[in-house]
Amino acid sequence: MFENILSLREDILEALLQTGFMVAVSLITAVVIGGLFGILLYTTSSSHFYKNEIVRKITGLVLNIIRSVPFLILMILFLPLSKIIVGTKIGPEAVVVPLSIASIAFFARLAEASLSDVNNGIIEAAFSSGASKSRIIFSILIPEALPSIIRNITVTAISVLGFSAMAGLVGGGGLGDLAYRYGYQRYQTDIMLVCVIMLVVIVQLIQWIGDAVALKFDKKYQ
Amino acid sequence: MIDFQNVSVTFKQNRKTVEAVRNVSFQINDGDIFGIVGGSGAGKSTLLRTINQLQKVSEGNVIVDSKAVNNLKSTELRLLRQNVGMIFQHFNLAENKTVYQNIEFVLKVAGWKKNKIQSRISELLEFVKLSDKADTYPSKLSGGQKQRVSIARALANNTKILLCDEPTSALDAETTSSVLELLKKVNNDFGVTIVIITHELDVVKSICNKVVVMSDGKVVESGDVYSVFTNPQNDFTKQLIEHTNNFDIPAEITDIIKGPVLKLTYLGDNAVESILSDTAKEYNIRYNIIHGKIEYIASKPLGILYVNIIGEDKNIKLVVSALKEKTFSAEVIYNV
Repeated sequence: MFENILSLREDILEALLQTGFMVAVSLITAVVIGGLFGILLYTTSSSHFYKNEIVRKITGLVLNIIRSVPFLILMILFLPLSKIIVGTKIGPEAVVVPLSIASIAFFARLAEASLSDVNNGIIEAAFSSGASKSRIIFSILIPEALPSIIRNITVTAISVLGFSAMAGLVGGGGLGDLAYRYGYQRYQTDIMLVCVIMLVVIVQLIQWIGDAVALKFDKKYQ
Repeated sequence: MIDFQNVSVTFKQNRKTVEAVRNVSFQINDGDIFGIVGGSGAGKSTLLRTINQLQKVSEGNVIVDSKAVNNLKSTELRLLRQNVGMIFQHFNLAENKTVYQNIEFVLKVAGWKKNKIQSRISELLEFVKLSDKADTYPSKLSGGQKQRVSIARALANNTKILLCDEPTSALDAETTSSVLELLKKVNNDFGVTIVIITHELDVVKSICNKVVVMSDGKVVESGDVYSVFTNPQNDFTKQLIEHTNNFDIPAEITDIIKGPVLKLTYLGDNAVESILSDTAKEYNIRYNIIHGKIEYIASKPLGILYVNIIGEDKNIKLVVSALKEKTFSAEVIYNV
């Protein structure tokens, strides 16, 4: 039953690397840029910081629109942008662009929620000490929200992994694509099984690492 | 000195305009432990926050050390806040920072040099008796310990003013008194002016020297604590004080006693014992003491005694009027 695996072992390895590449790049972009959008959403809604309803509403609307579009459509829509940014419309490099955009919108909202959960009193105490807004954001707000942010990075990573499975449709490769092409289209069930098992393992691994790191940073309930 | 000059604060809440503070004027002198009391929604918390401008004023001026803080630019405002400490009901320590890091943050903000920070923090922790807790996270501390850390944090930059927002309302009675003792020590050892807002009159009684009573955004009574507590002028204040001073005579006692029950209040050195024995002889009546206590308000004693008078009606009338003259106040609170 497992005769196909041996002959395709190099393709499986390549697919694994492609998935890893797409998820890693998109996740890093999401955490950095999405995180900044999260900070923007939080600070424009708080009277302690830079309360600005117009900026907050416009940013929120743009992020919601991105989140409303099914990833498949988003991918096709943004492929021309991939051509401009990474110089190609196919392959994992091309998929990284729409994947990053979707992840940024996804993570921005989660980051905003994490920041909003920080006890307002702690922020007020920091202001009462005479600290500047930027110092409060980086030395109080983010460290206080960190365990929750890490949990939300975990959630984002697993969602990005799910999105990346659709990359095959534009020649992006990856484990999802391999499972579809060999496992489904060529009836090589063993390939499908291996791909699915690998994805399950990756998800478990991400969750396990995420939980462990979050717990390490969480001093609130220890 | 902190000087409130015709301060009003209004803000919009759910499209309604709320007048939280209305035309308030009073002064807090250097070295005072100044109480601001009132029920919830009286505007005391809002007023307190105008001192370090966590709350902007709508009208009037708040003068701190001869500067109108409501006109400060943001850099000047940060400098002011570095010199005015604040503690809170729920402590508001950063949860993911150790005790040491919480205090360190404030010192870094104030631009302390690295080599001085460490010695300052150990000095502060020694003062609040938590030297062994430097590397502990707040979640491992008791409420009283958390409040002591936040006092250390608030004083870290050698602040001369300490604002306290209901500092003991989340603490049990025993911890409350230890925190209040610490605040007294802060005032005494470092000459820090303390402004304390609370709904607990016991807090004011035990540590404040001056008090204002707020109701509905206005100051309804002010003065030194002893005179406000022993001789309240405003109805709201009277009600507030009655509430803590009153003693309900148990039904078991009211069932068996005959004659009136008097509540006698006497101040300071009034030796009530001899008044009672003298009047008993003079008017040929007997006293039955039901309840008595001595309260210390701003370190001065206030005695309260509930006595039942037994004797002939005409003598009772005479003795009541005699007692009214000889004690601070004597009122008949129960009569069969």
